[in-house]
Amino acid sequence: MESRDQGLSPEAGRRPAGRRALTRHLRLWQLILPAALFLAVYFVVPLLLLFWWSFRAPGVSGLTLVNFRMLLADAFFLHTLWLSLRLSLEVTAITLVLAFPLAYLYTRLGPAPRAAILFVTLLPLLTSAVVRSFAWIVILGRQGLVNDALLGLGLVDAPVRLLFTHEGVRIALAQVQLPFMLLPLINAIDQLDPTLEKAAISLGASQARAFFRVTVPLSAPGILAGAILSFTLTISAFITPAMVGGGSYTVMPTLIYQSAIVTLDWSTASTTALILLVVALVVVWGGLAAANRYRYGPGRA
Amino acid sequence: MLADTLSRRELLAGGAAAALAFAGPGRGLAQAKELVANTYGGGWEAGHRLAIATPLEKRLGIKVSLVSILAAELVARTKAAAGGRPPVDVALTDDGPFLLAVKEGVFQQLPMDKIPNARRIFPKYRPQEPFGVPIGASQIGIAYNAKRLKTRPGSWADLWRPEYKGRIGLSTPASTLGTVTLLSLARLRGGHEGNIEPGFEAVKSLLPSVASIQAVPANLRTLLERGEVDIAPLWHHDTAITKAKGTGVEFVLPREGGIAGLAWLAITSGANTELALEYLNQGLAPESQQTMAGPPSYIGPVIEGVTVSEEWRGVVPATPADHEKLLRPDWPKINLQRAEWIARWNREIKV
Repeated sequence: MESRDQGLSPEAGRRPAGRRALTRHLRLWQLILPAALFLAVYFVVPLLLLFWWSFRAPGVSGLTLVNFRMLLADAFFLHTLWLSLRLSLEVTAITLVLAFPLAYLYTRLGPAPRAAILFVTLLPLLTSAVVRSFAWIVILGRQGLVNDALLGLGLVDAPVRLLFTHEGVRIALAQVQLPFMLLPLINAIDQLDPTLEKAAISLGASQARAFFRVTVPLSAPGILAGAILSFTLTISAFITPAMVGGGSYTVMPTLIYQSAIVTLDWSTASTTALILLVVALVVVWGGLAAANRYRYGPGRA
Repeated sequence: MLADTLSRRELLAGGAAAALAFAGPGRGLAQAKELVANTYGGGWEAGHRLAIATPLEKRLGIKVSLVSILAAELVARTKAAAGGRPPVDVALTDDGPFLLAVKEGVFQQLPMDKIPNARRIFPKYRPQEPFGVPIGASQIGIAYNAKRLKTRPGSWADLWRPEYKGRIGLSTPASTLGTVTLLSLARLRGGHEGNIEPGFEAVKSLLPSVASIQAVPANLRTLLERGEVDIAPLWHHDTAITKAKGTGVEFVLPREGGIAGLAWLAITSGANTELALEYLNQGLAPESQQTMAGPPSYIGPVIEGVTVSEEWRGVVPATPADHEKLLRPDWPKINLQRAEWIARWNREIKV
């Protein structure tokens, strides 16, 4: 099944030949030069400074691994790392499940409903994280909208605890990451030829089978792009976990804030950040590898 | 908004530097026309605009830009900018972050004779070292919703009363409020800056009554207003702002006495010293202190002779007697242990 998808992938038959490709690549390289310089100055150099801090410790001359040893031997630190990772994977999964049907629907609708879907999904991005988080306090609180509705409908006897819980943070983050998942998905699904799904159905596949075996695998680039965005934005989110999760909810960015800002311990802060960065990169790399396998079939990735 | 201010400011600073190079030294005031100071937003920003920035703009014909940056963040950003252009000329910080910044060497030593109003400061609040002047005194007490609670708290020990079960809000020691709350509860059980153990024991025994713990103290105000919590250790000025909205939230200074938190003004290294000194002196002027003590900022004065209206007596500390009741924590000692307290709180205190 998977190997048949290959011929349908958008890249097939688009590669320009030999020398022309080379000159074109050279010209492209010149085009990205300003961006590359910008990234080098404002991203690579600060990142290297970050590395530098994490290998230094007060009272130690030269470079040391003491910061890494201290953090990686700390059960609470590892627990926090795991919580951050779990939260980000969960939020990514939730946004994927919510965004995929929405993106699918979007590609089959006219301009007016399309605009409505985009407007409603993008709306949260127009407010600041702080304002949005205050709104969640009003919505998720014991006296909030959700609990009022549940109590009013007689579905629960006492207010459900949503605010300052893991569930609350998941809900709030899923809402704000939704557009980052939705837009790449719309882009991917929109490029698919709708006749493929019809062909699968006419050849005897059920609607569900056609959807899951044709449409979903072909949208893999969109799923991957959306998942990477949603995952990396969630694992680095600070304000929403602090405000919706409350003071008992500690994720990696909380630890980084505490040592970088409150106690000015930049060695611990940058070591924490570096560990988080490496873990996030490993997950993203794993996702890329898995997606390639899924798309091109085993043995060809 | 911040980026706009900074870039505009950098342009101005660049222009001023160029002008200075031609005009020679000794003309700082005439050349640089903008002063940037941070404030905490909300009541603080409004109060500082009314009491310091506007009078200064009128008197000197300069522009004073107020940017909203919290103390700890301001110190971290100033440290990060060391050697370059600091984010602000005048820094507003709380006790803990202020001392950290002094230790980091990011503030200028002040010529106190150029701040004539500094002599008005209450003796107990006078700076030990000339790196900053206090601009406001705040007290931490208990905020409670008088509409929703039948009994009025009078002491820190009252927090354990059964009728407050499930209604208390606390802050983590990552904020000044949370650190001082922890210290206050430690004091109640014989602890102090050098022995915080009783504080952690007290917080743990209080946990069954705690509805929520906040990393962001501003959230406590929202939670009080929304009835998510009904009682919480809080700054007097935050309580006053909530009370003024007619929410029924009241402030009480516990019988054991409160703790004074000072807000400090300092001048960053690399700032426009002359203008910045004017800002500090203006902030300590009697009329400015009087303005800040009222709505919308309710910041306690650090000089004698400021009066507050009947409604706010006992809430905004103003008289020498009010200030007599307030303790000054040993912040140098606290700062040395603060990372440890925060780490321990992260691990042990959960609701």
